[in-house]
Amino acid sequence: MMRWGTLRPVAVWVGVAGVMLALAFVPGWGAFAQSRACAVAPETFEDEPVLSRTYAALKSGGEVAIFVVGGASTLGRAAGGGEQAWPGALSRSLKDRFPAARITVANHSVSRDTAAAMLARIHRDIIPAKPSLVIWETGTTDAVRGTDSSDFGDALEQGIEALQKAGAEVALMDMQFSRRSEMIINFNRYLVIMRGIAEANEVPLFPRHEIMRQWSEEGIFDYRVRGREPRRQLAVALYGCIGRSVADMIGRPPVMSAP
Amino acid sequence: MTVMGEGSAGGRDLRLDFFRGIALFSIFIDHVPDLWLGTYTIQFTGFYDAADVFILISGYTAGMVYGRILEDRGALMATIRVYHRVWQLYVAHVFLFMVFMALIGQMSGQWNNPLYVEELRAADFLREPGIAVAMALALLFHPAYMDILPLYITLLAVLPLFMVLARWHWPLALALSFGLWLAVQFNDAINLVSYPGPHKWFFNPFAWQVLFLFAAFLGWSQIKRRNGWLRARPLLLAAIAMAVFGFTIRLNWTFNLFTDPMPFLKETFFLPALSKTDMSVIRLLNVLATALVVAALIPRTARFLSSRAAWPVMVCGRHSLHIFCLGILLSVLGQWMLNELQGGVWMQNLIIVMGIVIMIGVAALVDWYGKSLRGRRDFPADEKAGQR
Repeated sequence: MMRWGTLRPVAVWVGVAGVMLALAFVPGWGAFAQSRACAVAPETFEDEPVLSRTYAALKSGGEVAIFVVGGASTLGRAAGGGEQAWPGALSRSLKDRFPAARITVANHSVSRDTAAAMLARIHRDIIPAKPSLVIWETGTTDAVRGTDSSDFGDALEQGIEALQKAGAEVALMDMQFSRRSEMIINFNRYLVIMRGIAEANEVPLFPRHEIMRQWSEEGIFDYRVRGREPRRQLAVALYGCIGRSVADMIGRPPVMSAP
Repeated sequence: MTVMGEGSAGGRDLRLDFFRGIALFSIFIDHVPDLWLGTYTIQFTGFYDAADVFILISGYTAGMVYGRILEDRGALMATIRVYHRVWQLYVAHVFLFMVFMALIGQMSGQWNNPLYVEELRAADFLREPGIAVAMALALLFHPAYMDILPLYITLLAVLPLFMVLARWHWPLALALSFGLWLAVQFNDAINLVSYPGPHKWFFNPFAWQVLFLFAAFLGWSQIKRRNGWLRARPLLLAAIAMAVFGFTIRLNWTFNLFTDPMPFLKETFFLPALSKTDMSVIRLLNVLATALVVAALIPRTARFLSSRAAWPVMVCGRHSLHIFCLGILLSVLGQWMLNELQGGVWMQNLIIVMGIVIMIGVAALVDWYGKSLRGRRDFPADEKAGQR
């Protein structure tokens, strides 16, 4: 007969394994039960700074000129580009919510630009156009190419500073998610830098990577579909969800009041 | 060589096996991206992570084992022993690379989703696999997380040179090592290129050598009983201060304990000074300090090191070459499973539990096999001594 003394180490390890398996069911994954399937839980943006001037203009029916600077995933060719890209969905969603405001969304995206190349475009094309809000989607090409971390951070800092000096509010957006690309790209370093720089400059960061990861884990989207048409449909749906979620983030009032 | 794998009496420092075992589990978990447990691995305890601990302990052990051989049987024998190990690691690296290429290639039909047109640039090497293979053989291609092994191979390859130099004039050898590391701190362009450009090595070997070689020096001094200065009270107090500082700040990042009253303690403030690529000053001091404190807190004879509950960790640390490579393989496979099968939390936990169980199981088999060989005439006893 086995004695407890013999079994104890086994019991310890079985216990550890059991706790880990049990933890799988703890983080209440029910937060997505909302009207639209891909709705992002409101808490997602809880810690992001509010865009108070943009919100005031939206609310008071003023003029809101939103400029989007980004790469291929913002250009949105996978869905046919143009209005099918997420800035198009953002524009429609904001106009629905704030019908009185005069909202324009201009998409200034170029595929395969690094943050440094985007910085040059910000100086050349965006600042002269007097934007009220600039959404800067970046990081992908830098992660692919392995840009030096400090160069990447410097480009972000300089861009945010230049835009703020020009009187614009700024929001950042990080990279897309797919496990397949994580097998060959180390995104994490760049995600950490973006989060740090967003916090240091008190600008909101739209956590696209994390949101897309949750959608994947929730089974809301499967980014692995094959075939031309299913992939186009996926892109249309995904960009729609991203655009509406960005509108959720932008449309937050300065003081959170209890509903 | 009398240092055998058993007990603390034979001179084997069980603490090395234990913490290397922890580092091996940690490396496995860290290398499957986005596992929730990744927050609570070694990186939870300071400005360093499992890679630093692994390189530190491997350096220390290498210093003990090859230092003994160098003194007993000369530089040529020590060099041959080191290069025998380098060869094993190299073969393991090539094998792991092949598995990686096979997994990536197996998915090749799926690398053309227009949704990821920018990301797919990272898979460009699939268009010229011949060059990718050549670069991997030259240790210059480090896709995703295949970068520690090339570093380790490179460091081990220069170890004999360092040891021969240190035997002749140890202050000069250390000065060269620290000098090179310091030069990198001032000019991070001192690094090796990596395919496909313009990447550089993620683990800059010119910077990381200082951790490995200094640890090797300490390990070597240990067998000559010359490490008394490490127990000097002021040094220990400074180390405690540094370790507590690193731990507290790091804990704050994980749980946001006192970021609000003291916003300057945020991650952003420290990030520029915490380069992993270039083994920044704070990082190096923190990992050395923590190692010193842990070594002072846990005596060589600590009971739990030979307890049965610690055995699964010990056995992995004892066979770290096998288990390290297995861990990398398992993390690539785990990532593949998360991607191709299901990516939910229960799958993540399954991968963590299965991975660790497999690591322990294989380590136990290797251990048992090694023991069954013991006593046979043709078995080179000293090969067992400091298995990493």
